[in-house]
Amino acid sequence: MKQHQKEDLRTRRDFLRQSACASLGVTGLVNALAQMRLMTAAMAQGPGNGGYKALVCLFLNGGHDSNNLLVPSGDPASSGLRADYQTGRGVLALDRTTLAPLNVPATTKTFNRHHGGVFHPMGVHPNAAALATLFNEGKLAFISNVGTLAFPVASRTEYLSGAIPLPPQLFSHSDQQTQWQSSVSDRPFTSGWGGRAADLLNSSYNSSGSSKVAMSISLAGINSFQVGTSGQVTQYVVNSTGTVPLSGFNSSNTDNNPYDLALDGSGAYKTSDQGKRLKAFEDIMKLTHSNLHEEEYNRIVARARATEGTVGAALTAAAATGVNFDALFTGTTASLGGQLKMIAKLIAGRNVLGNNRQIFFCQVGGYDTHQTLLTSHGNLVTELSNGLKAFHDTLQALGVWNDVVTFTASDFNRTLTANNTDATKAGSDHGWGGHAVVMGGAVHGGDIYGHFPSLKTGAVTGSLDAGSSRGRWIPGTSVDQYSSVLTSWMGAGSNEIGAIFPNLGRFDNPFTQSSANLAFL
Amino acid sequence: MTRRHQVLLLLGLLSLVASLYFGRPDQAKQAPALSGSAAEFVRPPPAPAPDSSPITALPVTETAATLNSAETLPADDLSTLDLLFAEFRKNHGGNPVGENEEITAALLGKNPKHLAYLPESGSFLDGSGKLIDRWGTPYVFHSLSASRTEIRSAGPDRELWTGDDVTLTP
Repeated sequence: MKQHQKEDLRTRRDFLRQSACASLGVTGLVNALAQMRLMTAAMAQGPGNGGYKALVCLFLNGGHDSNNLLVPSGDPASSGLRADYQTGRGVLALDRTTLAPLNVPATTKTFNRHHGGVFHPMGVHPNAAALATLFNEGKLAFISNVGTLAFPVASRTEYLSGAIPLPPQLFSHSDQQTQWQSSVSDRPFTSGWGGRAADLLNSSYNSSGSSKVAMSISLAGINSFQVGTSGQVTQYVVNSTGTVPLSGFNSSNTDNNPYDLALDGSGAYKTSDQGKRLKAFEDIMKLTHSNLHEEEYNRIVARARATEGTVGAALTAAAATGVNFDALFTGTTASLGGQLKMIAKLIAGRNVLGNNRQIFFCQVGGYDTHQTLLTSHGNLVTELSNGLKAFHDTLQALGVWNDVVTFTASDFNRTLTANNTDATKAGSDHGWGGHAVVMGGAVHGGDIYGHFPSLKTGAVTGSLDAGSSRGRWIPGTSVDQYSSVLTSWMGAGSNEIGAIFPNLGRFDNPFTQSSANLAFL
Repeated sequence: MTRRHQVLLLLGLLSLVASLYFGRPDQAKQAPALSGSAAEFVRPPPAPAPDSSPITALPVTETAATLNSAETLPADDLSTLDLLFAEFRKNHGGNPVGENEEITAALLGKNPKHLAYLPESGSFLDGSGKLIDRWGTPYVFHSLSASRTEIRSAGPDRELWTGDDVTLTP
């Protein structure tokens, strides 16, 4: 390096700034993230980094028909939006008198873009009355018509013109799930935005000295959302009852300790078959290997065994809070309720886990409602509403309501129109932009963000129907925009956000452009 | 003021400036306005010029012509459609997606390479441009991933999701 270049880099801030710019401008996403991680670690100024915050991603697998979650409830004689809903939904339309009403403020901006600022009364599915209550208490918000985008698509005409690159494989489950979880819809999957956020935030907010478990915890197995780029933050998978133990070891009682037949109270091996088997396994794991893969396997297993103890201690700490988790989650399903209950317990035991920032992933299926939608979706909404209400109540009881933000995502919304004229058999098919739920003490609840779409189908003027006449909404808000607001709340600065969401600059800036209408946090 | 006091005063001022400079809150976190190359507004690339090149029928169209034939079985039709998807995937990187009529149009040549995988006409097409089974009901194409599309025929009763449906899940 030449002398004058060294002089240029002589201050720490200059070095950080220049290395960040170089990484962003010249190298690819992975290198940019690596540089950003070093920078954020260097920029961390010790304690006082915002306390504890947890982000909970609830993925509704299969494509949630959110057309019947957030519903126009006005009189169709005076509300064109309600009239369009009824016309489009046909046999799938919900009776407006049964909807749980939302007290949407008259100042809402959600009707500005597609409805000329004309206000339309809104409600939620009758089975989501608890969500309506949370909304009306200012604790929950909806983000309307979010979806995967490579670039903004302003209209049906623009969609049909072929002039705007679209996310590949629209309407395909696996591809759209991956794109939602990566946010980078126009490139092959390499990492999830939750994983990239963890890569950058972990070094800034979580101390390597106190952190006992990964920043990324999944209740639903290995997922795309939490795949990072550096390998520094790996996903740690637990299930609704706790850690995932070694195969062949199961609790003999209700203490959820899978090794109680293998280890005694002091941690010594029992003489039982399970004790002998565990000892043999762990003796083998102590061997060293020249093969790197074998060594890494050993390391992962050893880390998992160590973390099992930490999680167990966290659950003990959760029990010691005196909060009756089981009672609070009465009425929820084992699937969603079980996952959210475990997340609540891990949050309760956060001091044992030792992280200031935690990202959780949970998932429920069944949303691919091609048939009998009114029944099956009704049951799903009940599960969702009861689960989120119980989670809210538990976080309130734990005193961490302001520290946790929960948000939903799904493959896609579904077609507005039904695929059968028989209401008892009809379902809906794969769509595009849909409505998401965000809940938490930090959420500016009680409003609908983003841009509520026109519900006109086909080639009618003002239609946002993507190509067909089925009512597949061209998203007004990209996954990048939606997710960046959540990531900013977790403590990511503008440079980090630029690295985590490399396509964000293609869309209205959610932080500075009020027209984006994304100030939900 | 002695020289010692001057030095101490200078050091104090430097410390104050340094603390203000390095110790200030991360402004990015206060106001996350995006800046830098990663945040500049990026416009989509220019749209390609309209391609008026003729549609080229691929050899697989001969196999497709057997759809709904009396010489074949319903399950054969689904296998043939699966073959068309495989051929399409090889040329375009993924199966065609969307509603039946969109998938049919793509197989008929409405795709970036103007390649046809289906003959222009046949008993397998209805008047609205949909692929139909041998009983005249439009197929349901369920896109699972770029390489997997579930195909469902309503079967002889012409009603979907009943016991006589014919399905293929790759």
